[in-house]
Amino acid sequence: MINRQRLRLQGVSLAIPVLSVFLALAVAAALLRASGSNPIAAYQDMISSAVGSPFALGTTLVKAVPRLLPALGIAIALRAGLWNIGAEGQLYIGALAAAGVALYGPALSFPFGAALALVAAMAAGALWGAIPGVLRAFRGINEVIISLMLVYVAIQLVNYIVEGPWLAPHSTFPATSIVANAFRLPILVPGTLVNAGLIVALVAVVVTWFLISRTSWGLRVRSVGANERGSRVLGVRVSGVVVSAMAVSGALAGLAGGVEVLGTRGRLLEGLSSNYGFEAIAIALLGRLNPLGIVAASLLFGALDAGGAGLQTAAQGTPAAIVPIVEALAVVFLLIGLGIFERMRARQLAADALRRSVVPAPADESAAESGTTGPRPPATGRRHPDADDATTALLTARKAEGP
Amino acid sequence: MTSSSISLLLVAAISLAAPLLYAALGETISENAGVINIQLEGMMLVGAFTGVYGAHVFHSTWLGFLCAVAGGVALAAVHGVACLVFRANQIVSGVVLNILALGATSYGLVVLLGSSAGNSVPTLARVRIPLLSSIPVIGPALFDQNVMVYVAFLLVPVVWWVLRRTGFGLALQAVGERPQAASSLGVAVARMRWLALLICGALAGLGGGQLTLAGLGAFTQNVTAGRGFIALAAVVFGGWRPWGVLGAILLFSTADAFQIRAQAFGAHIPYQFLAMLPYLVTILALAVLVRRRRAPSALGVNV
Amino acid sequence: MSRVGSGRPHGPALIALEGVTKAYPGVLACDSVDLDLRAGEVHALLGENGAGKSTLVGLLFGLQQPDSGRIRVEGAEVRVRGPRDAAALGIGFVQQHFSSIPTLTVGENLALALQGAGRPIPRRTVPARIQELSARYGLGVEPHRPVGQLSVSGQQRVELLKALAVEPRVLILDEPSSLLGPQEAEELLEILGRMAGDGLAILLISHKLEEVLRVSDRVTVLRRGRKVATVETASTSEHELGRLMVGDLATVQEAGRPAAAASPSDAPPRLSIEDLTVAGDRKADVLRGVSLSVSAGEIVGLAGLEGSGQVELIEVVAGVRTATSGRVLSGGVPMAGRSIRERQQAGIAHIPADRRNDGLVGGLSVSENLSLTELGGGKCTHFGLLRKREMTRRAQELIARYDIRVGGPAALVSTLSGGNQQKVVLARELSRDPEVILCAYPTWGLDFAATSAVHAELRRRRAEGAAVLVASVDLDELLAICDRILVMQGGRIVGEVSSSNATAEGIGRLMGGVEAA
Repeated sequence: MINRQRLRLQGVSLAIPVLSVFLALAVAAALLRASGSNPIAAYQDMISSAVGSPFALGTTLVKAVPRLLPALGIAIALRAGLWNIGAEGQLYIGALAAAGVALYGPALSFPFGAALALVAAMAAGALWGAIPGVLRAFRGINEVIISLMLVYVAIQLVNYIVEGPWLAPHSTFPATSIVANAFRLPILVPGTLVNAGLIVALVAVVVTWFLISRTSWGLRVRSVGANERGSRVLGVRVSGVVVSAMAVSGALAGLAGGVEVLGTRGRLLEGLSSNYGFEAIAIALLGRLNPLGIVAASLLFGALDAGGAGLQTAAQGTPAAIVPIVEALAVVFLLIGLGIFERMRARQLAADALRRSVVPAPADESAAESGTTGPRPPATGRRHPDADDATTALLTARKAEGP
Repeated sequence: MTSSSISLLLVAAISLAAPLLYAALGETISENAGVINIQLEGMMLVGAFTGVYGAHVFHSTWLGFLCAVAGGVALAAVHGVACLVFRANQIVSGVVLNILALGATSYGLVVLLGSSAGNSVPTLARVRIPLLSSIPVIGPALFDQNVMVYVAFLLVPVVWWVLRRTGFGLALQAVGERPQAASSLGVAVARMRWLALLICGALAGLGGGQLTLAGLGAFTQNVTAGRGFIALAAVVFGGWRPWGVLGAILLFSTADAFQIRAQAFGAHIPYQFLAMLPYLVTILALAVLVRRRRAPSALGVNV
Repeated sequence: MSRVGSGRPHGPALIALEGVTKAYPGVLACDSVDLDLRAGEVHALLGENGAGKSTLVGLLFGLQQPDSGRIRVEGAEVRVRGPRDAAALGIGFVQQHFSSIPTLTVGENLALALQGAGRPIPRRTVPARIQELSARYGLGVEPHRPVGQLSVSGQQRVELLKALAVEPRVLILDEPSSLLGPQEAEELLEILGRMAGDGLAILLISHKLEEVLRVSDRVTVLRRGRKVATVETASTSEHELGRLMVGDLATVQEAGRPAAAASPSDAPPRLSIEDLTVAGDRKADVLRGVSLSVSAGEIVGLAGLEGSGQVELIEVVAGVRTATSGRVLSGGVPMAGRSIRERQQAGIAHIPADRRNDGLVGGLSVSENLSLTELGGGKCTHFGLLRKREMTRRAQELIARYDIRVGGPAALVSTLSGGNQQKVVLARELSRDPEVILCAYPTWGLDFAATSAVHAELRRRRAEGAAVLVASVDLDELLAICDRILVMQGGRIVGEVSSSNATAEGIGRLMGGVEAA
């Protein structure tokens, strides 16, 4: 009985992201309808521009990549309990470094040039990401504000570079020259936009999974994320984990910038990223921090983006701005859905606990089934000392549910 | 550097400060109650849009401002439902609502304001205060602005007074600092947070409206261009206190005005570096200075 | 020292609890408790940690609702649904955890408290009100300082001030002296005496016998959720109170007593602690000049009430907490400046007090938890990569060896029962074959079977030559497994007994702060 309920909860947990997306599409359809467009036709247009042809599919993939990479990084930081909301800035800095190497670096041949430029992008992104990590680890400053502020420093820096020192001759808009072929990520499938950045992204998915679940660093990261204080007591050097997790997170975002410059765009330009780094936060969440989930979510966002581009050119003149609306609504519904889910689970746990308190526990505790820890949790001087103090029990329970 | 160019610089600085001031004062109230609004930019943007749309529909700038308030409040309410009711992470919700705001206003721009006639509304006239506005150099800046600029600056002492001198303000700070303790004192924590959040939404919306209704007279895509984030930085740099926030905003808006008028001063600082300034000084202030004031302890923590 | 609380008139009951019962999942926190409070008396509520004191008070103050039973105020039955109701009934509560906002001034905090109680006063009159109350009860509180800048005793006085400002008839104080030094505690008792003299009924929660005897008129003793007795303070003794509070411990099973291990005192100490002091943060020092040594093949117990410094002592040795002064030597080697990891490698194992928060990472699997302390050594890792198969094999081995009841190595630790979680901690720490074993509350919350298993393991380690230091508030436990017991109180060691001639009563008196005879 209990198991069936647990199973049901698990099913619900998996269904929430999917339901959120459909709900968002439904709301957007109502909005389209209200503003005089035909939602069915609009969605047909979107679907055909996203998956209707090899070219459309390729566009979806190309649009998924710069969202996928930062989302992987954000997920890694979140595994360590850190909010890297500055992926957008790390992406720009990575793009800047890649462009710098490609335009002004050593004259290498393919694939060494492209590889070096990508490494530079990762290093620059890592550095940019490590700044909030260092400030958090050694000065106790919240990483959210710093990483966010660094986004706009990065964007302005790139704007300065492309409007000034690196501006391509005779360019009508702020951009550098196209980088040499030795540094380009070549097109993989002729007739589409799919370039080698896709391979980079797929490798990054595997590496991310490997780092997190197969290395001792990954175990430390997960440990710190799950219980920072406990990890410290167990001898994990928390500051090292914080800085390195933010650096790796930044490296992945930087890599996305490199892929955009060397692959899709071929150069550094103003407005290179249309909020990829911010959307990646939503994607990491929608994918529930799981690499495969993140792949699925970024494909969805890529498809929406590609589909939106199709909308603009379609006959009805439906504004493509419906796309970010769908994306954002999906995540808003996800947040609300998860909130409802947490309440259900809390109620379930309370019911379980109550049942156990009524039915006397078996004399010999049989594994997880008798999961109570006895009358009171251990208490220490620095925490609420009197564990039967139900006031504080209540308060800590509330507190523990914070982010 | 003539006195007239300084005077022009100051005029620009003060009028550029007003939208930021509305948003930042709202955020000051909200953060003091423990709610962080990364979507401050989004609330400004929505306010900027609904303000123009309202002014267009009702043929009244003042009703436009009312609509700007409503727009900001609406987005704040979504944040409240997600975070205060369903306990979503405030950062995630804020980031996503920025995307929503950008999308929704871009969509609305095409659908509702599509025609150029719809997207052009009269702006607020300047109200010249006799005598005072003739004071050399600072007179025009301080005493020859539109009404909503005066209101923005008058809000600073009002917010200070509310936070420091009223029971409401005390309860607000208690909720942001020690929500559990506040609750044990009989303060309705959830209600206080909602109130603070909605006030923030209203002020941010007003700030957005100020941008379009008092300044541009039209809405353009992403018209706020990061001003919400500058306001967010100002709250941190200003130490979560209204007067400090005012100081931060005057610094930032003067830099902004200087950037616009840099040629007049014969300066050759690339404007991007001036645009970076708010963020850089905020980071430096956090990282290097020994802080007298720190963030409210329960900022961003759901209870 | 003279008694503060003698010779006051005892009127009729102002507040009465009748047969009040409150159950939480898995525990009956209050079991049909009766209690009455009279105007002008200091009524002490005495009991060990977890005896149900705070729950009872929470019911009285409306923080929870009783499952059954009645609360009467001046004879009329009332429902107290929350702090506001309590305030309206004239019940004030000074909680153990301060409810002031540190960034606001004393005056602002008072204004806030009055507003919360539904009795706002004009802000101008706040300083005058503070002066008046402060003078009346000798609080010495200054209105314009931020509370966060005050000392702990100053903050406590602010709490008193806030409670008094709503003019209560009943004032509940939850362990008010627990964070204070002796001088400050003495001053606090004086203040309480003055308040009772003013006609207030005071309910003082405490586990300090001496304090209770000094200040109270009557004492109610709780044990495991039940009321054991209510006695007139004048007609009782520390002896009797100690017995009522701790229970009859004469039944400690003799079989559990250790056979005096091969005269461990002759061996050189494996672990020595010299003059260790840990300064408190604006409050009384946590540890004050503690010295002790533990020999190989010896189990030394640290007895004491909650907050006496035992856990902090263990944490200093483990490297979790930094000492202000003093030395820790393991095998003669000073441990100063060594990280937690280095101490682990030097043969120190640490079983922390709070197993769920400090000892384990709940969101990770059993096998991952068992590997967390072995990430550098090659046992579980190979050039930074996890040896998954090896981790699983090792986990299976430890699961079998320590009889951990779990589905498998991949099960999340958070799904295990408390006893099995503790076995995971034990398995991980002891798998390194440590020479020094530090345990804090090793069997807290465990059932009989799990407790026996933990004790058996510690005894086995002693037999193998480990030096074991055990902190516990459970005297039965210490008497059962220790060779010697050191009693701590207020951050100092106040006595040492060898467990062969220890009596629970004697230890109980030492724990309660009554000096050894």
